[in-house]
Amino acid sequence: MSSTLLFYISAITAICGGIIMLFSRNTVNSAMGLLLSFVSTAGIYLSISSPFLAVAQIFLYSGAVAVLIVFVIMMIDEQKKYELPVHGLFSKSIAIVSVCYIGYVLIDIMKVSSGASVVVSDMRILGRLMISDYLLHIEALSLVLIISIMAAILVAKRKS
Amino acid sequence: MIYHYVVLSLILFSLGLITVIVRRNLIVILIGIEFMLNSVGILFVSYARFYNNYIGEFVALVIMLIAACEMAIGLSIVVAMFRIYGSVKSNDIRELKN
Repeated sequence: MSSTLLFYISAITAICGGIIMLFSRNTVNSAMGLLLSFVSTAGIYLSISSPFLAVAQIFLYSGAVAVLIVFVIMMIDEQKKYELPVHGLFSKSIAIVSVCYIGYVLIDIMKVSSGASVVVSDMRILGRLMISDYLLHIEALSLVLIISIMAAILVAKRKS
Repeated sequence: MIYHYVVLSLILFSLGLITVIVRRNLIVILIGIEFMLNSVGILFVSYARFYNNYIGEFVALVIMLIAACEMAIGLSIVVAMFRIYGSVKSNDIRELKN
């Protein structure tokens, strides 16, 4: 697939995800719109041939953040119903198409990484930057991560 | 071509901003903030790739990490707020008003 076509498909799905997030009454649907938009963003990163950031996007955003949001929605059970609306034929077909799309994007990542025709973002340069010029930033980020983990535990802890 | 990426990033950012302004559920507001951060990441990566500069990709990575931290703390605050007020609507939280 050419990168332009990948960009347009991903852009349209990202905007659709945003519209779902904005207009759906159910909180779970908003989270699913966010997830759709994150996966589409990974496709956009692929279309500008930056496969490392695409994989990081899927792992970090879709894997961690979206799952965290869904867990919290499940915990605070405001409406006492949090089943995913995957009942009708339309929803099921949309689910199947999106899973196929994610699989295609993942296969495309491998193709882009191994193909030689495109100028792919070089992971070696980025990694070398991380441990030479921006070492201080990375260390500060690790501190931020530790502090945020501790703060999240402290804030959400039940007072005994 | 980079114009398309800028326009897409603008559209996504405005969708997130409208979500933050319009919706009253605290979790959906956090989702909108996350959406805005994501759109800024798209802008950084597209400029980095079009000018073949790696600093932009690094900044996008930093944005992802900061967004994960922000999400953890924000959601824990939402959970604590739900324990106190019994609701996650932003209208119900008006302790400082009087």
